[in-house]
Amino acid sequence: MRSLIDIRHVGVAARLAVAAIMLSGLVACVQPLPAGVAVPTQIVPDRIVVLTVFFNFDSHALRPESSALLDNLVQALNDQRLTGYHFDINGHTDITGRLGYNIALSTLRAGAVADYLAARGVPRELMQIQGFGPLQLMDTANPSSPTNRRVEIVSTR
Amino acid sequence: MIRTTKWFRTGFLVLFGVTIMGPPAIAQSKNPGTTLSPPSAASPYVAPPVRMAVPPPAAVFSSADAEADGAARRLAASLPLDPATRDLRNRLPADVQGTIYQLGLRIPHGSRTDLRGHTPTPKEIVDALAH
Repeated sequence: MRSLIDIRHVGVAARLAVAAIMLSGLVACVQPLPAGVAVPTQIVPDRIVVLTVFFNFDSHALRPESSALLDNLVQALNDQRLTGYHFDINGHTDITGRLGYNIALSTLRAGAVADYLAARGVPRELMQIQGFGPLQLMDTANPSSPTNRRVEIVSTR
Repeated sequence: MIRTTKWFRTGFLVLFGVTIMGPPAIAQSKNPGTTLSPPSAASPYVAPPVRMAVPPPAAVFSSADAEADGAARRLAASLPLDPATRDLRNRLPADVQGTIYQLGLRIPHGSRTDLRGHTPTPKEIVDALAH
């Protein structure tokens, strides 16, 4: 069967011409892009803010002194500049106590923050809560330090 | 003349009285604002509670307090961790990353802005979160 392009009967000069064309195409492909052309990247790094939210001892009930911070957070997450973003609300504890209990408590605390924000107009579908307990210590040299007790808001696109 | 029995006359008077006077009112106590017999929720004389779009701050700050410990215990028991890891006290598991993976948590990767120690303004938060 005869194919559409059969180079057996083509002369040497024609073969060289085809090879040159193919080589020039290859060179064009590997040339650097001109300056100013944006290259889409696969991984967009997160932006994280670390906050101190006050809770009652051994509880996920928010303390009244957290209201000013959380009200500012409501305004921020509803800001036009953050339209189209999703937010992780991550709870963290220090190492004191049982691991499972701390993970659960940090999850409930992240949920309490999300409930507060949702009650004041932040769309719930934009928020995801996570509880790390002590698994992501901020001060690894002092695992019991209060520095490790925190809430982090992560913006993702 | 119509002859009636004593029971008939008594029943007639009771029915007539209820029709004219209406149902008996709830007895009021001597202290204003309280009732001796609290009305049931199904009573047609009790107005349904008004639902608020945003709960008052007092409710938000105190509702979870009473059962927090129990809720955390229940949630801890349901975590997908083996009991030995779950009950580790004051210690991290040998394989922290494996435990995080087991829990299905997503570790954030990126720049971190520490806004602790003060009440950040909305602009500070937006500046830190916007890409």
